[in-house]
Amino acid sequence: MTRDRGFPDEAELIARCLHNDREAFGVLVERYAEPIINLAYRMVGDHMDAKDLAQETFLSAWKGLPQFRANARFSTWLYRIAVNKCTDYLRARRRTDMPVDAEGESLDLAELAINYGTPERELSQKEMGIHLEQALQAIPVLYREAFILKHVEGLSYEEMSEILGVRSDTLKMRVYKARVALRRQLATFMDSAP
Amino acid sequence: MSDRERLLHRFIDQDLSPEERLAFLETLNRDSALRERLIDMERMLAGTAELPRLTPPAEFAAQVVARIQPPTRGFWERAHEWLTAPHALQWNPAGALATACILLALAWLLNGGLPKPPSGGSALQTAGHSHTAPTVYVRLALMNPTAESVTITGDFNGWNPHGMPLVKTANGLWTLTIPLKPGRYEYMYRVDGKWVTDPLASDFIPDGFGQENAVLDVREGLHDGAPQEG
Repeated sequence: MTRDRGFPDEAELIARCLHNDREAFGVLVERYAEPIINLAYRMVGDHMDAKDLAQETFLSAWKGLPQFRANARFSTWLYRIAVNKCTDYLRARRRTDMPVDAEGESLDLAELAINYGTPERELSQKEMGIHLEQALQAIPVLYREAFILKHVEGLSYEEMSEILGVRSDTLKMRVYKARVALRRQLATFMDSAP
Repeated sequence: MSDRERLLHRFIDQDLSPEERLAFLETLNRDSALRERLIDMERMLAGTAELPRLTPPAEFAAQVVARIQPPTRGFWERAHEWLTAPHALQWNPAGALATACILLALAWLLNGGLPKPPSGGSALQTAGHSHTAPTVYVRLALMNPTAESVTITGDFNGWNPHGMPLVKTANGLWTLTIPLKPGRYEYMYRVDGKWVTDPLASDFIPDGFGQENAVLDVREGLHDGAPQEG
C-alpha cells in the first residue's frame, strides 16, 4: 500500500507502542482512522457501526501488537483485522439488504430520480457513486470485500491475498463476479441514462 | 463466464500480455457489443471515485486511546504483590461488632443450625423443571492437533465472534460440552481465528460468505443427560 511511504517513523511508533506508549498508538490511530472507517463503512453500510468497528479494529490491533511481525506492513495487518471485524459483524447480523443509513444520501437519491426525467442529462459520475454505494450492499459479502479492496482501496491482488488469506486467482474471479453483479444491480440506473 | 468476458475483465485489470492486449483491442474494434460492455464497466468503476468518504470524528483517536486497557498482570503476580506488601489493620467498634456477628452466624450454621430441607424437595424441583423444555448436553469435538485455539460460535450464542473456547486434550482433540434446548442450530468453529466448518456435522447450510455453516439438530429424549456428539 503506497500510503506507508510517507511515514518513515512508523516502525518507531510501533516500537513505542510495544513499550505501552499510548500516545504513539494515538498517532497511528490518527493516521489510519480515515481508511479504516471508510473500509468498514463500505463493508457494513452504516456510519455508526463503521465507527464502532473501526474502534474495535484499533483496540484489537493494540492487543495484538506483540504478535505483529516486523517484516509485515502495518497497514496490511490493520486491514486484515478490519476485514475480519466486518465479516464477523455481518455474519452475526446476517443482514442481506442493508439500507444506506445516511438520510442526506436517501434524499439525494429522491432528487436524482426526478432528474432522470430529463433525457438530455449526461450520466453524472456523482450519481453513479451514490447508486454504487447502495449496490455494494446488495451483493454477497465475499464479492463486496474483494471489490472494495481492489477498486475502492486500490490494492493489488497480491496485497489483497495477504489481507484475506486467499489466492490471487480466486480473488480475481471474485472481483470479476462482483463487477458483473454490480452492473446487474445498476441496470435500471445505467440503462435509463442516454 | 465466457472467454470473451474473462478477457474483458483481465483487460480492465491490465492483466493481459502485450500480444493478448493487441488481440483484444482488435476484437474490440470489430465487436461493438463488447465495446459497449467495456465502456459500461469503466463508467461503473469510475463511480468508485465518487463514493462518499467519511471523515473520522475529531475525537476518534482520543476515544480509542481512552479505551485501551492497561497491561493486565497475572493472578500470581498480583497475589505475590499483595502478600509481600505491608498492610495496616484498621478497625472500628461497629465493624468489629459486624465481624463478630458474621463469625457467630457461621459457627451456628456449621453446628447444624441450617434447617433440613423437607423430604421430597428435590423431586418437586425436578417436577417444576419438567414443565420447561429439557436441557440436552451436547458434546462438540474437533480433531486438530496443530491448532493453538479453537472456539465455537453459532445461533446458540448470537454468533458472538469471541465464541466459546474448546479444551484441547492430549491427542489433539478439542472438546466442549454445552447445554442446549432442543432445536436446530447453525454454528462454525474458529480455529486460530479462521472460520472452519465442522466436517462431522449432520447437515450444512451455505453461510453467504463462501463457506457453509454446520447444522446441529438437538433432539429431546434421546440423550438423557448423556453427551451428544456434535
